[in-house]
Amino acid sequence: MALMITEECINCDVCEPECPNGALTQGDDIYIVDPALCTECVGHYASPQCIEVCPVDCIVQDPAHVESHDQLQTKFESLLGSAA
Amino acid sequence: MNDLSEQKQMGEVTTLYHDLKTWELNPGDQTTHAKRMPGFFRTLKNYTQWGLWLPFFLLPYLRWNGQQAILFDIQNRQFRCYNITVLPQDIWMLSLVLLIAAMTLFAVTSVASRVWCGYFCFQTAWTDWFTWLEEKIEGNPTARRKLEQAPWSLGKLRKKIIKHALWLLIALLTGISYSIWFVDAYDYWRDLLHFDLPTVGWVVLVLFIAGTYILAGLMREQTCFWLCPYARLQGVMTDAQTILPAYDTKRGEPRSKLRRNGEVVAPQGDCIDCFQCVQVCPTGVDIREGQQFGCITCGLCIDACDAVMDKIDKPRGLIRYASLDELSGKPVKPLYKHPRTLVYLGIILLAIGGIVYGLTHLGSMTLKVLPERQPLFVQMSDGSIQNKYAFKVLNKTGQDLHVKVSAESDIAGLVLIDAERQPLTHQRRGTTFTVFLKAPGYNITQAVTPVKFRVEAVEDPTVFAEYSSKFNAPPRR
Repeated sequence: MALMITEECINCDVCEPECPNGALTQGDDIYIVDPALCTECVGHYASPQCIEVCPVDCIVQDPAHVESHDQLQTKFESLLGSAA
Repeated sequence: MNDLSEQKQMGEVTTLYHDLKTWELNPGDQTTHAKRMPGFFRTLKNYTQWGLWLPFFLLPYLRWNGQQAILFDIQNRQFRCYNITVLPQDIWMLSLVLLIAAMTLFAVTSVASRVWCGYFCFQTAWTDWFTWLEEKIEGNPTARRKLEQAPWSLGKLRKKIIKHALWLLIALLTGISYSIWFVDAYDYWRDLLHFDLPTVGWVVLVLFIAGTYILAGLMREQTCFWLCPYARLQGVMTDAQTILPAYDTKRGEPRSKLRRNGEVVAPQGDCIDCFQCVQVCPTGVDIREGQQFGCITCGLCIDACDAVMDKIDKPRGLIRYASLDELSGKPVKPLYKHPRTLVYLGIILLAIGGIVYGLTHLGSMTLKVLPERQPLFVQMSDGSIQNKYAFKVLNKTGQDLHVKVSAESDIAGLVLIDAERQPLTHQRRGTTFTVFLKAPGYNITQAVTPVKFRVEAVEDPTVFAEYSSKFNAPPRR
């Protein structure tokens, strides 16, 4: 599952540099997650880094992009491949 | 500074603010990129800064009776403000003006901390302007930090060139606007556009361009930290009764991230450690560490915190203007029980009184009479006694005037020699001439007799001045 940021976001900018995939960008009102890039930190860390640092706990799993751990692992590897 | 390999733990400071944990204050090895957030104090600051820029840039163009309305005319040694012309002889009023300025700074700072620094200081206003431009060109702080670290490219070069060029343009306008407070604005522009300024004009202009560019563009908050004496001075003018932007430690601590699913493990304060207060701070300090010399008390952290509190449904004011007394739970004393402020106010009132007296008693002519001392008197062959006086007449009006001299005394038969002579006094200048008084010896009853001199303009009898002096004679037995 990719993650999404709810409207509780306070635009504090802490999540953005934490993301190993560069999936977080500042949107018009709040930060947004690019579901094509988010692996929920699978392949990088044990837990999603943005959730850990978010001071208002506004990052949740995106029901519109449900993915299994294996799918995320594949996404991570393909992202690595495209980056290389 | 950003050691990414370091193991991070839940609730610890994130890598973005890693340096803030180790440095209380940025000593200048990095640029502080403050975030801009709307809010009450942001708006207030905009108003006060416009209140600074508009008069600074526009007032010199104002005309009054065909002349520049406000002009510190150094060349002709006079200060002009509408109808009032202050000559160097009345410069004692300047010391009162400086006294008022200093005491106002003291009084305001004792009540509400560094109001000057946060809202009115040229350094703050120009830096704010420069960083606003920087944001327009290079983007928000995150984008700016990225751009800084990015390798040089055509795009980066273009942005940097535009930014620095605009900064220099502002610096040039600042230098020009400063200069035209001291020389006629239109004359200055004409000379400037003809590249015909005097050397001192060029030196001032170049110094101001360099100063504005370096202080507001490159040094920014470092100026407040390490260069400005007022920044340090004002710190000691505050006390427990002074209100200043402060973090309510009791309410905020222990700070921890908000967890919405309700798993509250430990008691939790209202501070969610989102670092917004630090991010918006133009000097990059953490207000939660308490009042510190880096804080210019601009209130922008209050705006940031209030916005976050609104968003997480907590009451505003976790960071607010509060006195140390209030925060430590002591009763808040009313202003009239703040003796320091009252003393400052008293001095201000005295100084204002002095200036009002000075301006209403400027007069249009002053007279000083110095009796000749060597010799004090001369005994003439006909037995009369003659005294010599040096007259110093200052004509403060805008026209050359002839003056009629007269003398008044108890001595019978006292005559002014060459009384019909009417010396010319030049406009706005001092004129010196000599006057002789003669009286028959037998009419003089004492060694020293008071005598009152008067000069009166022939062209305008309302312009006059008087001076009490003495008529000297040999000792009587």
